[in-house]
Amino acid sequence: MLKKWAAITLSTLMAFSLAACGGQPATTSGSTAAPAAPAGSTATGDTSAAAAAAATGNGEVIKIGLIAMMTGDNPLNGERMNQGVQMAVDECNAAGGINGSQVELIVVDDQTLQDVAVTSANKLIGEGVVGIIGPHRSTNAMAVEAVVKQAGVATFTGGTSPAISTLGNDYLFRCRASDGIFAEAAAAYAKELGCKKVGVFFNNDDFGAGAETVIKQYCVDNGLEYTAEGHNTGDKDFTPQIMKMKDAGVDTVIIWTHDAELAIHARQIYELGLAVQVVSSPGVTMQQVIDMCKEEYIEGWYGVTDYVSTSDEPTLVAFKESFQVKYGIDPELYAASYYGGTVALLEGIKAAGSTDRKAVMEAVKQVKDLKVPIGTLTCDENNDLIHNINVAQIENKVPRFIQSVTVE
Amino acid sequence: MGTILQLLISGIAMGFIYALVAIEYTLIWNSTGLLNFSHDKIITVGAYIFAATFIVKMNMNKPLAIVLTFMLMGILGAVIASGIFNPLRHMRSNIFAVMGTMMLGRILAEAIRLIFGPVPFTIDNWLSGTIRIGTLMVTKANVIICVVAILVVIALQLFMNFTKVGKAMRCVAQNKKAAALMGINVAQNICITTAISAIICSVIGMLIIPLFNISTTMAASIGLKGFSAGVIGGFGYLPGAILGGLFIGVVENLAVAVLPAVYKDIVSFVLLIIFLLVRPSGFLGKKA
Repeated sequence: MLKKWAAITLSTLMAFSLAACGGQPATTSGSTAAPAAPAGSTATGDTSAAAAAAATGNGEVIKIGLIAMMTGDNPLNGERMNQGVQMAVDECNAAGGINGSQVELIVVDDQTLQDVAVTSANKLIGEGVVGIIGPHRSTNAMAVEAVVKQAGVATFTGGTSPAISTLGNDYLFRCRASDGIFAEAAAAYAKELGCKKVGVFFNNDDFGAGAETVIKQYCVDNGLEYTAEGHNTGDKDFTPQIMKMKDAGVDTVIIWTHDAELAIHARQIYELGLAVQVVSSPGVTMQQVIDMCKEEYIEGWYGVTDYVSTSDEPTLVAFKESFQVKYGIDPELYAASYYGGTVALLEGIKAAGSTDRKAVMEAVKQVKDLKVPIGTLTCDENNDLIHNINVAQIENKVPRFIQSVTVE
Repeated sequence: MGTILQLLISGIAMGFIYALVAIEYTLIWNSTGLLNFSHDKIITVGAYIFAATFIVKMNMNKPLAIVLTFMLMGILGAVIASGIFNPLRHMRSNIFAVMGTMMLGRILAEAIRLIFGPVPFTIDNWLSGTIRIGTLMVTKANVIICVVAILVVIALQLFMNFTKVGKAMRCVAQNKKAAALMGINVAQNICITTAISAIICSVIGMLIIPLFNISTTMAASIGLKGFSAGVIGGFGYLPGAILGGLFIGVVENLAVAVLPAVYKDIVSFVLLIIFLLVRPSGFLGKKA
């Protein structure tokens, strides 16, 4: 009898706790609405999300959030994100804030996991942030997009999966070029190098396979001969793929894969004597990949990337110098792209003239020709902000800026 | 034709790596009747200790680093034996100890990531370089791995057949109870075997650094394929490990000369299943 009652009590408790944990987006955000009397504040409009009421110009703090991967697979990149975003906030505050209000950055760690990203987003929304920077990974961005859409908070991700452009979410902005743009730019640059027959080494996951589809389409549309060989993450020997490319007689190779596989490809391409020009995915310009390769393996390789430290473009140089002064180290791709995203958000808040989340989103949608370290931000109908990428060439293990390529 | 020859050579080269891992499985199987599925992680630990701690952090010269790595890995092996193999082998079924090793593998992988960080890296001037014969190419590291694999097999055969400790190991493998009755300290024997196995793992780890670079998943695929190689060659007979390794290495490379290269991994596991169905004792194993 006791067992039966215990079972019923426990199952009821479980059922209640499940109900409590389910759907809680944005219902708690009302608690941190600005306490000042809403003198002339804009109407909030949406009913489900208690948007932070306007309170500009009277010393109130404007909160923005950052979801960064401080732990997990790539903590170093998360730290750089944090540094880039913090610098943008500090610079804004030093220049007087936004319409007199100081900006406060709240940082949450999503541990590179999707479910933690969702709880992080909810936490930030609950604290009344006007905009969110991050999460970085495409899968994490896809996980939080429904949450931020319902709460109506402008969110800036650097995830590059082309699928993000198809979501139709007004509140999700992308502050780095989509993989589609990277891959198309790589193919376009290969054509510019005079190639007639392209060989593509691609990773079989979403990242590589997605890029391969774009490159194949470009080659078909532009009359380039095309062949491709796939591999899996974790593969350590690419002799069959490379020998097949040699036999196929390609004159240019495009490689699209992750850091570890990229380094092994570089060594084996050199050792097996596939002596053609190479255009690679962004990994080859990252220091950790360059460190894994001997100089001769990657000498002369081209890489498409967001950020090239040797570019002489003024905005980038200024950013680089400030970053070095502030943190004592060189910035890289993560710091630079998310600095740009933060600048876009802060400009949006300034242009909106209030902290009303919907107004901020509308203002960001109007962003045009805003210069940031990784290029120029112009919002298009898919909420993609960046349409150019940079081509770098590796010389003596340093990526040298060659040119910027704008797609469509 | 040149391509086929190059694939053959690369296949043989990779085959010796699989063979070394298969030797591991065979060794542990022979002496404890258990399968250690954390071999690939122990290999990774060996590589990280050698490269990250001794070479990069402490800047030691390489011979000293090698010796110290052996010592540390031997201790690790003994700890694994006392912590997992010995306590768990008395359980009703071997599956408990096997599960223990799988979990140990996960623990080691996460520990490596926490201690050394997740970013892949490599060390300079360590077994790098290639040897060219006409248009064919083989890396120096691969040649050294071949030589080491053969030496390890010879050394182990001599050890198992001509030394007291080795003979005791064979007794323990045949029948633990009888061995105990004969006065052999079975637990201590298992410790020694696992220590030797861990040292060989660290050898593998050090040798694959120039080929695969150092990352937390550097040995994941060779761990599984090494197991396939062991089954195909025949557990229970050490030279069978080399045969199994070579067989897998060559067949998978030649297979992708006709198949799309992305199916390479499938080949070795299909071979494993075929052998388990048709000839479970492998090429050279004794029919159980």
